[in-house]
Amino acid sequence: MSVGRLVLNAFYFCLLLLVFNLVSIAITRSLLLRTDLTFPTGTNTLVLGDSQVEWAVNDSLIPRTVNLAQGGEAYLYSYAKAKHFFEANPDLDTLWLSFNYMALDHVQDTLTRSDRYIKFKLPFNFFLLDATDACIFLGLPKAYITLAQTPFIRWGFIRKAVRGPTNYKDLNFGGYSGTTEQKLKKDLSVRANEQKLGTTRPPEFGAARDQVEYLQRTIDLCRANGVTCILLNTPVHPVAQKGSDTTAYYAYIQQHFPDQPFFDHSSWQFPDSCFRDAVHLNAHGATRYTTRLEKLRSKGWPTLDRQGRTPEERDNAVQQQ
Amino acid sequence: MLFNSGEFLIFLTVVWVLHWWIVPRSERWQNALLLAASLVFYALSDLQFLALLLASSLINHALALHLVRLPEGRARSTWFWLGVSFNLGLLIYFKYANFFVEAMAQMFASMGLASGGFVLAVLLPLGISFYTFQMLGYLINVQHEEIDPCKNRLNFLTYVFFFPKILAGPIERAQHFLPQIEVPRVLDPELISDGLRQILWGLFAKVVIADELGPYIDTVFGAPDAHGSGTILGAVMLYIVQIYCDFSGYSNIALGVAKLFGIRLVINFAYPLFAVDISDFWRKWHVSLTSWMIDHVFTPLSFILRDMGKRGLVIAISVTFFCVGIWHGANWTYVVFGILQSIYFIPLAVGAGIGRASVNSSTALLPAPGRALRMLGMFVLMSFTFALLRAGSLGSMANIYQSMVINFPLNSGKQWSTMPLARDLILYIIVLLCVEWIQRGKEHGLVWERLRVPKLVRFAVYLVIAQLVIWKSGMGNNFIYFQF
Repeated sequence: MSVGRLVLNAFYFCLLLLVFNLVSIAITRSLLLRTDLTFPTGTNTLVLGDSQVEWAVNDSLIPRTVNLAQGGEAYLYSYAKAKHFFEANPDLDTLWLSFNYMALDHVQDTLTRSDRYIKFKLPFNFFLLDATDACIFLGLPKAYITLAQTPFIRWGFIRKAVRGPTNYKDLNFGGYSGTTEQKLKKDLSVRANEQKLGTTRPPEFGAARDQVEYLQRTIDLCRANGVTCILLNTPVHPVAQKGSDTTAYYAYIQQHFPDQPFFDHSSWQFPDSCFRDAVHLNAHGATRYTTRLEKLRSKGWPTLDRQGRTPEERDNAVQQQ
Repeated sequence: MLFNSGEFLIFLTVVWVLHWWIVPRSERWQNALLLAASLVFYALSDLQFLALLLASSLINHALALHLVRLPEGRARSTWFWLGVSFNLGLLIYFKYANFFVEAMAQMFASMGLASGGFVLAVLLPLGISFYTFQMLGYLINVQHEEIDPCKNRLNFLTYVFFFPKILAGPIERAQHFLPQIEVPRVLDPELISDGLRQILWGLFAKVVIADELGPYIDTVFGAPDAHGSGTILGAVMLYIVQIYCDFSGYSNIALGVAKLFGIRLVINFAYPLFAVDISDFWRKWHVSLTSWMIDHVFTPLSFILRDMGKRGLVIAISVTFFCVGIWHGANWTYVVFGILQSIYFIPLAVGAGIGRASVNSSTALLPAPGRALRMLGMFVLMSFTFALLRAGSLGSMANIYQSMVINFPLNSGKQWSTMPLARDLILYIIVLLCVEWIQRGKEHGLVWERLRVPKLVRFAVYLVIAQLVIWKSGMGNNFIYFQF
């Protein structure tokens, strides 16, 4: 064998491998795009964001609402989901979007760009991204490998899609998954240790460039589609609240989203038995929280203070004092 | 930087192009490039110990040159033993100091004495066991005048640091490696093509089988009480398959990468899962370590103890396997591992059963029933013994075997199998075993010599394997033998 022959063979090999992967990705994408994204009739509210809302809003207890939030979800994917679901569901008029104390912290861009999250998120969301969104991954080798692995990772879906129609529930897009795990004690002790050792990382709220960009885009998208985007901060344990840089958080909202509907339920009083850990509700907590949310919604969302009190409740409390 | 990572692919491509097309084709330039690449490779894997290994290599180089200048006698012997002590000292300090301190503390505590709260936390430099044995072997060979010391420092450092083998071997002999880099290397397309195939086969074993088996085995070994007997038994049996695929996969990739640069490394695995007896097994498993131990521990010891007859042989075998055991690290599980191997070996050695033809020499499609039974027996025996390398302690090992008995369906009402293995993984293991059985006389699974397979079919096989590797490659899982 000559050197030229070896190089040629290697070239053909790489070319064939590339073509095979491109074709299989294209087929997977087209099957995913064929999915019916229509929600049940009457649905007008979509819930998106990360694990805090994923575990807090039990959409089986709140009518006309679909929760598709998912742990570790970057705003990039929330935006892409919102775009496609708005198109498929003209009746949607409200988006609840997770916006917690960590949402725009500088480490949150790892949700978009780190190898770990690319591996977990891209195979499930890549088909929703348009060329502009996909540009984020241009310089990230892990994204190419993950895309090549996508047909294998989504093999179960592909088999189902080939056999018959699929709907949004087949996409593994997240959704409420109540948990009965009890990790609060452990989490609190870890936080206490960090506090003691002084290893708590100083937060830099607003420093996550991708998160900031795609949060803004999601809000703009909602405006363009006539959808009300409500930023939602779900209840957290008082210890977690104490450990967060709430000053920077509220200052950011004041500065950047002064007119944006913002439901801050972080200080709603829940017993420890309602928490999975310091920042997540468990199934019991989700039931209580969602029931209360629904009650408020049915009252037309009276303005609440940070303790979750309606003006009446607040006045009553003041009078009692 | 791991062999099964994208970064390594880029690194390798750059070094390969530089080696054959950019730097002048003289051994000096080629070796300088390989050394620079190897230093970068090691620095990217373990920067903090690079200076230490570099200094240690230069000391060994100078020491070997000094040895040959001395006449036979006490001075030379003293310098030689100084060198041996230096290398062993480094290994003992980095690898065993933690163990000794903990053992002493425990001993004091059991005697009711306070240990003074002295804690040692020594980090292990990557590849130190492989590196040290290479250096020791070199010094011994120079001392015994089996080789001339390498006068060229560049060549010597290239030999020590050559990146395909620095982290987990094979433990290369100077007399095998140095002559290959003392002449300009010529681009040999056949060798490169073979190297690429060997890399592909190594990746298949590592990424498609070993990495996929990892979570299954970790789960079962992590909580054996929660699993049925069948599942525990399966995990114990599969661990040897995992460690084999992991280490032989690594070795195949290392050998393949070296071939891309026109260098042949020693073969480290010769299909040990088809061994018919213990001596056959150790001729096929981690060959570079076994042959090192035979040459530098077993042979000198049996020579010294030759007057003691079979008793001397037993002692030599026991010491050799004890060394093999603790070479893996400082833990009682490794000690017991070594002792068990010598217990298996001694009856064979005393009965003069070593050296019979191994099954690799036969070309039959199927083994004779007797041989097949012996292979199966050997596999089971080694599975149960190698599980020690996976269990963190003797207590955990005992717990695993205990759970296997206690959780038996008739005893516990638990299901025989509580965690089925993925069907595709079973298929890959069967494919690997079949291919290796058919190819057992050859260097790796993708050598096509004497097989009439059309080119297109071969191409398809490469594509399927490469695609499986792409699909299955996760987060660049570490190689098990890096910890040793």
